[in-house]
This record gives sequence, structure tokens and C-alpha cells, in this order.
Amino acid sequence: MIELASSVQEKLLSYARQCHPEEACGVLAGTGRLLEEFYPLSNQDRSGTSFYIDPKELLETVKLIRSKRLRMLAVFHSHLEADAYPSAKDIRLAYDPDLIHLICSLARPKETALRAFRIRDGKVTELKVQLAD
Amino acid sequence: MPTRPPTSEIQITFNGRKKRLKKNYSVTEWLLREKRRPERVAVELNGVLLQKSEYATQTLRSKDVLEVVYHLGGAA
Repeated sequence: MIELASSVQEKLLSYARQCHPEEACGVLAGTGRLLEEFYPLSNQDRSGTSFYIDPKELLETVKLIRSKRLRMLAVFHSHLEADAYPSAKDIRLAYDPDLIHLICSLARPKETALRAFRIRDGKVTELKVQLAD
Repeated sequence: MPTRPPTSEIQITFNGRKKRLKKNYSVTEWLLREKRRPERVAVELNGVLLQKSEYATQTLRSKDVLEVVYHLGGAA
């Protein structure tokens, strides 16, 4: 299970809609199981079907997160048409076994879905998301 | 009894943590030692993003600041 600050959830969904028709992406930081800050980052692919986070931007963000005594705990991206579940490429490119993958689907605008997963050695495990104040 | 030559350790900062190294590893050697596959990571050395081709030739020196992140990408 992970805990996600309600305000952060709103930021994730809002950013996903803002980036449409491109996939949105970014990272989340926190402590323990609580994801408390969202850092929106550029999708270098500028695509509606894939994302790649600019390494330079990512490195700067990781250092910023560390300076706040937080840890990068999760990566976020949106799916425009597909469900909020890791694609084959998401799974293949999940290099960091410790990172949580948060995926939001905009396929059904009235019921935007946000789900969390752990991906290790190609195996996907869904994590329950509990909203925190 | 033969005397050992003095061990020349170097100290680097790796992802914000001080590390003592017993030799001047190349970036590739260090990544493999840290169980990170070089093709899966981006590396910044003293504030400069390295090209993949530099990983094998760039040698770590004392007081170097090394930042390593996994590439983050995917698709729908």
C-alpha cells in the first residue's frame, strides 16, 4: 500500500489533462510510504503514446528532492487511450526495482483512473492507493 | 617481513553519499560494482552529463561528485 496526499492526486490528474494530447510524466517524492510532492517533468518524446524523461531534468530534480531530505519514490505518467495499467514497454523499461509506477488513464474523462504498481523483473504488482490529507 | 605499499584510497560522493574507493574505478566499473547496468542509467560527473561512450574511459578521482539515475520512460 502507498499513501498519496489528496492535493498531490489532484495535481497529477490536472497535469495529465494539461499535457493532453501528449503523455504527461513526472516523479513523486516523500518519506516512507507517503508520496507528498509531485514534480512535473518534460516528456522528451512529446508523444501521446510514449514518454521519456529528460535525464538532465531528472538529475536536477533528484538533487532538489534530496536537498529537502525526501526520496524519489515514484514515477508518474498518463495513458491517453489505454487503461491505467503498465504497457509492455512500461514493464520492459522499468529499470529501477524500488520505484513505484503511478499511471493515470484519461480514456474515460468522467472517471479518470489512477493506479499504482511495483514492477520487478517483469512482474507487475498493484499497490493499494490510500489518500491522505 | 615485506611491507605492503600504502593503500591509496579516494573519496567520492555518489548520489549524495560519501564513498571510499580503493582504486580509481572507471564509471563503467563503478556502475557494475553498484549493480547498475550502464545502458540503463544516466550519469552526471561533477555537474556534467556524460555520454555513454565516456563511461568506460572516464576514471573517478578523489572528490568527484557522481550522480546516477535510471532512465525513466514507457509507452501506452
